Amino acid sequence: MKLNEVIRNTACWLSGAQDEEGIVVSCRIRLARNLQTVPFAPKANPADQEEVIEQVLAAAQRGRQMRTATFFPMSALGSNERRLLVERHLISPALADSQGSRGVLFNRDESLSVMINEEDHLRLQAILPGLQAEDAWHRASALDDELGTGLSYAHSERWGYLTACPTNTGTGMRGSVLIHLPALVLTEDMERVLRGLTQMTFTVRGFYGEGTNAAGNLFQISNQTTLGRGEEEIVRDLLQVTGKLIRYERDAQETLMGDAASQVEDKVWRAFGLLAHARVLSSQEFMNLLSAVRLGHSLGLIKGVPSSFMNHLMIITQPSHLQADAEQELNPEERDVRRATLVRRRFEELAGDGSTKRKED
Amino acid sequence: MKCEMCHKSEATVAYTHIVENEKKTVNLCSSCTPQQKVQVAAKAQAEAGPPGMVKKVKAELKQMPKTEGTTIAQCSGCGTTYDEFRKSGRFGCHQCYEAFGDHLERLMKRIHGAVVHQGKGQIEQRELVQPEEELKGLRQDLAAAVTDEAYEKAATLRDRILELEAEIGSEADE
Repeated sequence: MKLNEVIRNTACWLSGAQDEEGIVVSCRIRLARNLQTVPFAPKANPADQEEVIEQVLAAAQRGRQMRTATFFPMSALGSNERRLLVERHLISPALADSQGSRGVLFNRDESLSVMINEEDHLRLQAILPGLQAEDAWHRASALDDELGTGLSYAHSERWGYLTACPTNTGTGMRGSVLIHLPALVLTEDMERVLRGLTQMTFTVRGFYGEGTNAAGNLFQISNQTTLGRGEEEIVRDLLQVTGKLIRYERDAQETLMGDAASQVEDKVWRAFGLLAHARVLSSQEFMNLLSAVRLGHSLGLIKGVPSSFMNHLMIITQPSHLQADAEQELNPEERDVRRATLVRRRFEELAGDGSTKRKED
Repeated sequence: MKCEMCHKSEATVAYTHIVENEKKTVNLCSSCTPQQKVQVAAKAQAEAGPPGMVKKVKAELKQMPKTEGTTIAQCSGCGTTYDEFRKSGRFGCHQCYEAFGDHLERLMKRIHGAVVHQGKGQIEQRELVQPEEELKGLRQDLAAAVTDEAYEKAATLRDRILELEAEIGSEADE
C-alpha cells in the first residue's frame, strides 16, 4: 500500500458507528511495550533502533493481524507525508519530528497500528468508531498477545510492563475517548467538568493529543495512571466517566434548547449555510462551524448530515491532506480557499442525495 | 504584536491549546501557525508527558534522595546514572527498574497512587502457526474424519476450513 492510496481510504474509526447520537467520535487504546534485549529509546543507538524494527516486523509477519499491514519508515517520508500520518492519528507529532530509524505499521482500515521507536520501542494502538472502548481493548490486547509471542517484552512481576517513562509503567495503557461537548462549552460548564475529571485521575487534551488545540469542542479524555489498576478496570472507569460526560452534555443541550432554542437553531443553520457556501475557510473557523453542525445533528435539528460525513471532512480538510490532494505545497491563504471548495463540494454531493432536510419548517 | 514563533511578522492568529488542563494562547503570524502547530504540539508533548502529571513527576524526582547516602550510582545494564534518571525521569533499559528500585516506590506511589502492577502478565513466547499451515493440517484431519465416517467431526472441521479460507481470501484481496 502506498501513501497516496492511504489518503483515499477512510479510516474505520471515522464511520460514526455507535456514536451516542453524535457525541462520541471514537475510542482508542494504546499499549506501550519495550524489548528486554535492547536499550530503551533514550539510550538506543542507531543499530539498536534497527534491531527493534527488524524484530517487530518479523513478529508481525509471523502473526495474523498485521501480516498484510504496511510499514512506513519515517526516513522515507517527507515532512508533509509525516504530518499526513499525524492528521490521521497514526503517528504522534513527536514521531513525525524525530530523527533516526523509526516508523509505523498499520493495517488497511487503520484500526490497528504500531509505532516503532517512539518513546517506547512499541506503541500499539487500536482505534474504533463510537463508544467501543471494550472492543478496542480486545483488539489491542489480541495484537499485543500475537506480537508478544515472538518478542521478549520487558516485564516484571512487580512493576508490570517496563516503559521508558515511569508515568506509563504497569499496564502501559492509555485508553481514550474522543468526545464532542459543544453544549458544555456554550453553557460555560466545561471548566468545572475539567476540574472534576482531573480529580478522578482522568486527563483532557485536544484533538491531536497532548498540548494541542481543542478546536471544534472536541476533547480527548484518557486515563492518567497506569499502575495498580488492571486494563479492564481502566476501560470500565473510562466508560463510566464517558457516560457521565454524555449525560452532562445532554443536560446542557436541554438547558440550551429550553432557554434559547431559536438562537441555537439559528447558530446551527448559519453554520450549515457557511460551510455549504463559504469561499474561504480557515481551519479554526471550519472546526467551529462543523462543531455547530454536529450539535445540530446531535439535537436532531439537522437530518442527513451523518457523523461519518463530518468525521471524514474533519480529516481531509487538515493542512497536509489538502496539500497531498493538491499535489503541491500551499500557503495558508491557498489552503483556506481549497478547504472551502472541498467542503462546499462535499455538501453539494450530500444535498444531491436529497437527504439534507430540516426537521420541521 | 510580533509572532511569538518567528518574532518577525505581525501576529494575526491567537492559537489556543490546552496544556495541563489549562488553556494557553500563543500569538502567531499566519505563515507560522500551520507549520508550527505540529511543532508546538510535539514540543509540549516532549516536555510535558501526560498533562497534569508533569509537575508532579518533576517535583517527585527532586524529592528522591540525592546520590549521597544511596548505594546505587549507575544501572549496570545501560549505564544510566541515578542522577541522570533524577534529572530526565527516563529509564535507559529494563534493568534500571531494578537498579533504582529502592527509590522507585515513593515515585510510583505519587504518580499512580499504587506500587504493584495489576493486569496483563508476561506473554509466553511460542511459535505461531500460519493460517496456511493450519489449513493444511485441518484438510488432512478432514480426510481422516471422512474415512472414519466421523461426520460430526468432519462438519466442524469443514466449518473451520471455510472460515480460514475466507480469512486468507480477504487478505489476498487487500
